[in-house]
Amino acid sequence: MEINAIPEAFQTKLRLAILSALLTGEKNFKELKKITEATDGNLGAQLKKLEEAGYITVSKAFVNRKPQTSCVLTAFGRKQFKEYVEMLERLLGQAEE
Amino acid sequence: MDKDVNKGMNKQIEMAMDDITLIRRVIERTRQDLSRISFYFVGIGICNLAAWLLEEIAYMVRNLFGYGYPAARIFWWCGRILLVTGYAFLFAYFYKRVKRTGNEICEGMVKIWMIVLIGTLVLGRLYISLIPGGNNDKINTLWRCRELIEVLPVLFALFMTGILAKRKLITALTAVYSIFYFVLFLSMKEVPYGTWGGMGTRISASRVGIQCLMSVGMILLGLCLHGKNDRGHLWK
Repeated sequence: MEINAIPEAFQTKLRLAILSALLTGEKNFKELKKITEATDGNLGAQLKKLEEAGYITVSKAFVNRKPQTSCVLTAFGRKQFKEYVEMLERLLGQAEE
Repeated sequence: MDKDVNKGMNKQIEMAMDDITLIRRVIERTRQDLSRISFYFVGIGICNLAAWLLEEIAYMVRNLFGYGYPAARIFWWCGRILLVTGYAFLFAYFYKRVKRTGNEICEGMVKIWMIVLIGTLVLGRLYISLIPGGNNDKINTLWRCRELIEVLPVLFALFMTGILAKRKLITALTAVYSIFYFVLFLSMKEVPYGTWGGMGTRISASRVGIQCLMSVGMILLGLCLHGKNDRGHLWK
């Protein structure tokens, strides 16, 4: 991944925060909202974008008769995230030199 | 021209540092978020509250109908069985739930609390079976020391929960409770127990303190972990 070709998924802080939160495993909508401090509308919109780009999978199910949205990072999403962090580290390494 | 290149480079470095900081903060926050297991503690509290009620009834029956009355033993055993099965159910349910999320702190917390709770029940039982029979000062002291087997691991686990969850309130309240408990334990104060019906057995006040900790205390711990954490804003 190059600095001039950063995927759209990493271009907003909220999407980056969502992907970072999902690194440690599955999270539901409520948990993501608590971690990212985002509003329902904004979080929903960013999740949709990340799902469309293939970074996460979103599943909806009824738990105790209440709808629950669960999100998981895909293998592609994890690979892209790793590449992005490597690129950031490279950039900071160059700056130190 | 060089100035523009440097400016662009500086901006990219600033952005990279911001992103790295954000990623670190989110991962740290995700690890410390124990809200998924908050109802584990509420469940433990409810189990203990129900067991406490059954124990009170057992003492009341014993006080009313005499020591040999079988219903008293039945109620007492029901309380113990409820505790063991309740703990086992809670562990199975919450362990399965946290395993999916990959949160190692939550997973470790569920395991450690289960070892502490089941361990205190088993060790307490073993200790009672090893105490010699009779009624003198030495034996009464040994009986009183049984409380320590129940309370010390729980206090240790509470301190650990407060530290791992980075909740100063939990750590501070545990410290206050520990002092309060040891003052009660050493004061050797006794209170009537199972008094419905007029007569009551006198048991140590510190024992009632443990019952309060295991029921009300656990419910409050669960509610505290469920609430919003005061770790500052993510976007600072």
